Amino acid sequence: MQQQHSGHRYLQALQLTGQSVALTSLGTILALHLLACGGGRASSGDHAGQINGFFRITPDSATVLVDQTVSFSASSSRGGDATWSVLPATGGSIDAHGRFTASSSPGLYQIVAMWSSDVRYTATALVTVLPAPPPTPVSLGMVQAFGNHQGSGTVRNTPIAGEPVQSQVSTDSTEVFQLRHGFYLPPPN
Amino acid sequence: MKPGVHSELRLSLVIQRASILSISLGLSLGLGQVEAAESLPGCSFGIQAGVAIPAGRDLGVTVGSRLNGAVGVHATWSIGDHHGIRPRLDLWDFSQGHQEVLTPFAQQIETKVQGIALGGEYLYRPGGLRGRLAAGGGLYLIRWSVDSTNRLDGSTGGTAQASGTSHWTRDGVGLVVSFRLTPRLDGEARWIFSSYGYEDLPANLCTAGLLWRF
Repeated sequence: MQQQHSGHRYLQALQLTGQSVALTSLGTILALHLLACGGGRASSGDHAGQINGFFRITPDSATVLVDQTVSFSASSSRGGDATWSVLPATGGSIDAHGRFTASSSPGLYQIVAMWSSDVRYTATALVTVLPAPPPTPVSLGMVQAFGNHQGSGTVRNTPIAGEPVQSQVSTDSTEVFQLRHGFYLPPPN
Repeated sequence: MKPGVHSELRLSLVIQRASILSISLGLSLGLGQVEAAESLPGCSFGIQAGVAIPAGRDLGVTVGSRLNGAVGVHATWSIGDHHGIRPRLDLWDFSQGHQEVLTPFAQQIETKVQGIALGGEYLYRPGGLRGRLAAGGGLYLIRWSVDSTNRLDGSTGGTAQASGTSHWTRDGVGLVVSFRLTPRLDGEARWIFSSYGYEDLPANLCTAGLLWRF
């Protein structure tokens, strides 16, 4: 009889231990989850108005001449492709790889990328399309200046002696400047 | 309506719903002392239906403020007089959410969230098989899906728009309180903690519903 009673007590103790283990484990998991969840973020990239956060475009601005191209890339820490747009569309076109081709309309345009993995994530960049430079008359002096000095004035974005050069203005009071350039082979006709 | 005002209204709505849920829970706990006329069977199957309410800011912003439906199936195994295991499958269908801001750009995002939760719950019945009240916790695997349409009006003119569906599978834990209304019908309330999205944002929700045993 006494043996039966102690066996019953043993089973009761075992049951209580089992309950305690189950409840403690569940409580621990719940507490850890609560800590991990936190109270919510003030600015999540998937909310409206959260631009260029988790997902962004590189470079964030660029300048090109009309009809020229420039490449953008959009990235996040999770990778993925993007849906690209040019705003307004008259600014040019952009392909699935982020390669922008300017139209013949100079101006300021916006490049928009929406992340393919989650289209709520948005990134933007600006592109300035410059007008085509006016043709620069090549003077005898300029041709002669090849490799030496060119005096006076402004050189715009234009080929000089067959080589494209960037816009440059003389800061010298005598309006004389030296334009350095290297050996350049003109493209074949 | 300004976005800030919209968020405040939504927050107050969530608080209002949470209060109603708390009162319901309190009533259930009070009535739990009364014993049911019939004890639970060892094993049973059933279906459940109810409502799901977002309990955090992140999910609250993404889903709409209207009522969200929750349906599913479950089984219940009684282990001894006081313990029970309840495997279950739930589908949460949230109403369409709408976000709209004017800065830095005019942007509108429409979202439709769904969650499919597969999991199991441990239930402790203080009153044994004939008691009405059961409480415990659950572990779930939740498949979240968000259908989104993002529309942005550029500062230089023109509009960009994209649509798509994103999916994530995340774990979740929950607290459960269940109250036997009739031998075949239980009322239950749950508080579930999970996360979703590529930034693992909190996706917490309350559910309240009825479970019907076959």
